[in-house]
Amino acid sequence: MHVLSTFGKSSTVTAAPKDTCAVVAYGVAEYDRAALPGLRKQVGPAGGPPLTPSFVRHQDDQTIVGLAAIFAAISAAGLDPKVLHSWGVVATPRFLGRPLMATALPKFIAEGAWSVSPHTIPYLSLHSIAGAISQALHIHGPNFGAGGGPDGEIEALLAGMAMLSAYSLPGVWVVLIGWEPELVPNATDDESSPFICRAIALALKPSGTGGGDLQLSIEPAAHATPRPRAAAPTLPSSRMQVLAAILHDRHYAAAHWPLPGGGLLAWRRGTEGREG
Amino acid sequence: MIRQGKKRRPAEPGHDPEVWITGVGAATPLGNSYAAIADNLLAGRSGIRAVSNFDVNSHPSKIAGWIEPAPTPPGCDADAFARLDSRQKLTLWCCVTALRDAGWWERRTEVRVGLVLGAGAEWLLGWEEDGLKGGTNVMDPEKDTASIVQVMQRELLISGPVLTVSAACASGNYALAQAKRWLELGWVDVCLAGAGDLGVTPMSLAAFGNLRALSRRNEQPQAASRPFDRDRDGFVVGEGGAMFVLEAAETASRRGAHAYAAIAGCGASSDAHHMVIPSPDPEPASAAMRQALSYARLDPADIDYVNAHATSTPVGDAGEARVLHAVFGEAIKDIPVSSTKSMTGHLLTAAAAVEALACLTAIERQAVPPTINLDNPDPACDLCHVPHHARPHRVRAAVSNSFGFGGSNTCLVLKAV
Repeated sequence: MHVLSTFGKSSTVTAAPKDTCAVVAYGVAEYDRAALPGLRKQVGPAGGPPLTPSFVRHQDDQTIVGLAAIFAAISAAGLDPKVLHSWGVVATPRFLGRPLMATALPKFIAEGAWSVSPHTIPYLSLHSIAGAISQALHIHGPNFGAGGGPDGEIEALLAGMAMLSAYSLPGVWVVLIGWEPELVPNATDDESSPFICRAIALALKPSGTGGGDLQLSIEPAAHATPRPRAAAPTLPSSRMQVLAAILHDRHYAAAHWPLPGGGLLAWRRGTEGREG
Repeated sequence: MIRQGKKRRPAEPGHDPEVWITGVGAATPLGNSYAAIADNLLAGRSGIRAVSNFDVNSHPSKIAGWIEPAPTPPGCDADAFARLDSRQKLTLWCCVTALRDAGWWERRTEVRVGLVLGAGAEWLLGWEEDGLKGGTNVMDPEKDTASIVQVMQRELLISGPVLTVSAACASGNYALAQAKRWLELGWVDVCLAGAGDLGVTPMSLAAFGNLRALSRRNEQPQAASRPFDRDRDGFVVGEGGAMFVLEAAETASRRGAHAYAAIAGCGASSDAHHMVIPSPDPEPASAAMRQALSYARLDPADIDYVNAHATSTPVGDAGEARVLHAVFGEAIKDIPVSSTKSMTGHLLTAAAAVEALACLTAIERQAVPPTINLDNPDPACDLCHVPHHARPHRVRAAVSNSFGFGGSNTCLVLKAV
């Protein structure tokens, strides 16, 4: 459940954010199934060589799209990759491994133990994408997977925000990935709603360290009251689409996701009531 | 039973508020309660046996530290419990028994209780369990409605945020570090943290076996997990879980709670080297250990016990020995080091959590658990070993290392309170 708000001049947001961090860079990657083999061959830093075939060969599609999003973020913000080496990484895929498991299970039932790929656990566990990102970017700070199922995006944002201060990090990548709609193995694409693998990579830094149009904060209670200014475009339906909308589209200034006992607020800096 | 500890003075003003462990719930190959597990660890018993709950004829490794299904926790409805899947049952058992142990079960709705759970392959294992019974959940996303943490939120009636974390073998240490930070940030009043894994499944055992990571000492299950031994040939998969109740020292002290230990420091780093093989460079793992010690405000020589990650693999155990030498220097000759995986097997995502429990045992019982099967220590693992039998030892501060697949290095420092 989310609240997407278009703020007018007299914002009704009144509560001071308790814990805030800034999104200093972001990247969005969206690929349909037909485009993924091509992406797999070329994913890599902008202007640099693609990641090696041996590295990408066994990675899941969600990992590849997540990497594309993070490289896009680095390029768009002009970040120096070397300063990222001490950052942390949190990655949340959604239902990672479904397509492979859909073929591996009947194969195991028919053929037995030898048929199970040794790559299943290293590449399809919840930790796998964060580990792959740390390798691809030579990041030596902490890395772990978060969420992995419904509500994974919220879990990952919470985890990333806490990770920043838990290890006194200069920054944390939070990478959200998933198929929208959720991939049904063996299903053909519906032209009106094709399966899209979407990833958003957010570079979080402690608030006040400079930069960052978008802020994230944990609120002790739900304070934001939406007040649409005008007829808004079609509201996005998923959390990732909501975040992408706030990042890209000035019609949207904030989103609020309830948490037990409070909420997670994503808001554009400069919105009245949110200065500084 | 609610244990009343002595009222203890919380941390002095100006210092970081301390976070204490006040409750433990667990299910492991060595037992389903903290007391039973502690007894068996110090007795040097092995929980590893031949796998007999599914067909392993075509599996390279046929042994594991497997557990029986978790029993219905006290106070929970048996019929409702029976409807949960095996991972949910394990987690609920650990959470309920931890909350009861801490004295928070009856009062859990009065405070914001959060949950941070280490879980690595929740959906893969769920699809496997369902598929082997003839189900089709893997093909139908609409059937995947709730994660384990969401089910726990509902079953436990807890009102704080919940989070699944995964860093392979290091998951439990990350869970404890996240929970500690949530308490410091004021996001929760009490936090359940730990990890669980039921990785002894037909496909999981096959996958690890095909990775050539497992011991094939099938004729001698209890001798197969041999960390630091010259004749080690791979790890033995184990399963189970451990959950802890964390709260601010001030809260615990005010209500007279028993404290197992303080979480004094958490350090973490990444190898950024390989999806499976640990880095030959000891520096990233050393950095994690140094960070944990720094946060704990301890020197290496202040440590009384190291619970090593050491899984019984030829490469990993020697690599960790190099890390310990790099961090502790000469002091490592006198600091007892043991790997309790020799008795439990490698509990995968749950390893760090169960090994934190082993450190609590050392602190509480003032004795270091042994590394069993350590008949011929590998010269490349030149450490102050504790072979075969527990050693009475003054333990005020203990370190638990956990280094996961994907190069996640974590270190936890626990201190007596």
